[in-house]
Amino acid sequence: MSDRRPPVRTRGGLLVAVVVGLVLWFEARTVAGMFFGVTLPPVPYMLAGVVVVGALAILADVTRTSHSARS
Amino acid sequence: MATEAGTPTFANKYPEEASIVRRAFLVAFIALGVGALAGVIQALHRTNILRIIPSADYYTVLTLHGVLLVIVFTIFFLVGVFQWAITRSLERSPPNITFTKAWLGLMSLGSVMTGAAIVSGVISEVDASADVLFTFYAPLQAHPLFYAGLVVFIVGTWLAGVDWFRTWLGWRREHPDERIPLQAFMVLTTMIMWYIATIGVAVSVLFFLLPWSLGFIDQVNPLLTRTLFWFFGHPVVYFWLLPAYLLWYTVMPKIAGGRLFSDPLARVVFVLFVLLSTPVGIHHQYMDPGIAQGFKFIAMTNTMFLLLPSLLTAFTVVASIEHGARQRGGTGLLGWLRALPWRDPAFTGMALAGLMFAAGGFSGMVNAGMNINYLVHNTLWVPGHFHLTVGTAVALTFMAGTYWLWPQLTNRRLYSRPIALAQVVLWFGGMALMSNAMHVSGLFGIPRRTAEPQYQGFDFATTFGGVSELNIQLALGGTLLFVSTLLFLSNLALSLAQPTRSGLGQQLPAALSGPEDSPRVLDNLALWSGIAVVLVVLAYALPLGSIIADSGLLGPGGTAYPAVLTPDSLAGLQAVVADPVVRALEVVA
Repeated sequence: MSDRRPPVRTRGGLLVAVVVGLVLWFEARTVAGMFFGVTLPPVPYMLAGVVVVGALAILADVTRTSHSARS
Repeated sequence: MATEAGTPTFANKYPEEASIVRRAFLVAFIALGVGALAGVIQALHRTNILRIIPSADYYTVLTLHGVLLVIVFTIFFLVGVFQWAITRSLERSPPNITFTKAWLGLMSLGSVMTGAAIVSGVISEVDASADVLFTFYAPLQAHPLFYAGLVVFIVGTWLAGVDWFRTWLGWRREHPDERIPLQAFMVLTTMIMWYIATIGVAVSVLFFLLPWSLGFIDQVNPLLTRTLFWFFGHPVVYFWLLPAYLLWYTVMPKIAGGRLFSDPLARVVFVLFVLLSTPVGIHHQYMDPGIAQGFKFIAMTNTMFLLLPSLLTAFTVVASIEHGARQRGGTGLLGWLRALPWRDPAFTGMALAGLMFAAGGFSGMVNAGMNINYLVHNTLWVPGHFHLTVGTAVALTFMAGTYWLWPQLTNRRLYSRPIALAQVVLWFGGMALMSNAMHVSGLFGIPRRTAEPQYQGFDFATTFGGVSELNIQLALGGTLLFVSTLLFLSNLALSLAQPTRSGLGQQLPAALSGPEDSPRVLDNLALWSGIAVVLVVLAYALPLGSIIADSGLLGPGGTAYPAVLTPDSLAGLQAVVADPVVRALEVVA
């Protein structure tokens, strides 16, 4: 087994996380509709998803940046 | 992408073989482009958003989409990857490169013949058509050119396998005590599975469909040709999938910065596919009358066993990339995910493909269950499922794998890695939209394979949205997928103009747990082939015998009921199956 190398963290992960998060958010609406009969209007729902997932992404990026600065 | 100084690329080391791989990829990507165009035309047509073809031509376009993408694109890419894998893992050129070029030429000729028969369907001046879809069984009949092309194509793939087995046999003579290198093992086991699987389609085409199409026989038994098709039609799914597994097992851990977690587990997975891929095809025929329920139940049970190699793969591949992430400094229960090379389109594409494959596995379990299958059979759910498996797990892995293989095959860098990253992410998002809409539509009974499913004014009062919203999702998803395909192809085309350079070579590291940790019996290909044949005989002898006993080899189809074996049908079975076997044994004795 090789030695550990310094952390390599990339913003590519942020892009993928946002897209995967939005897909999960989108699928949650399907679950709400088909399992619980809750109708959520598509456009406001997805806009809310963009805001929530975007906020989480910014938070994750800030956390990472401050962590990198400390170390 | 990190490169390793001093390591030659595949193109440096094996220039002729690299040329073969590039040619195979060229045909694959031409098929991908045309097939994707046919796909977006259908998506926009059946959702009534844009109609550029008459509905009468819908099946021609659908056949073109299916055949080009799941036969030409996938299998040409497969032979390219397998040629690369067998050559590099055995460090050995094919015994005769002219033979290698010959099978690739045969496959290309077959594809052109089949493609020409399909395209003729939209040319009114030509009296030929082949609107039989990818599932080309009776009673739909195509022009003989379609079947002849398929024969030539499949013979080409058989010869490709012969070429790879000859390469391995040559290697084994020089290394009698060594274990088969993992990539070569994967190639050989996949080809064993392919040889067994294609028996069904070869018999169907050569003895029934082609003579029927040529007018030599008046009719065929539709149930028999369906059963023979699905004898091949399910294992072909694994023929598409296993090259993707090869890339997940052997390339993805390297890109992630680590090593394959377990070589023995990878071998077990491929052996399980040899054993279990074929005796499951009847699960595509749950709704077919004329096959007893017991046979369908056996097929369902075998199909559920196939979940095992997929779950083993999920464990091994994730363990391998976690190891890679931890080598790159990743820590924590899930924190290691942040240390993965997400900017690398090859890694991200394969990872997203694997994620989608998990979802496709869940919907596949619904398809495989006899009782739940009745709910979704022949609905849009089914294309929703296989667009996650072959349409994403396979296709996206192939595209992502190309990004990694490209420098190895051409000594050129990719034109744009950011475009490549956007392309794989776009595919993931587009497929999420389209596949979701297809699955939900299927649950509401909206049929697949029709140009006119608008259901205008129809509303599902008890659920969210409605048909119009599902149609928008489907059309939007299909369009994003087409745009993603264009980005992929244009990125590769522009890469051709990149200057050649040195220093692009990469090696694949050995597994953490190597072949020495597994019993040698895993490499006994004759044993696994024998057991696989026995399992196929057990699964198919009685159903096929029953169909023939019921309605004859060329009969119009048997009675639909009873759906269980009766003393009468057993007596017929004895005449068709047991008696000839006894006579044959007597002759041998």
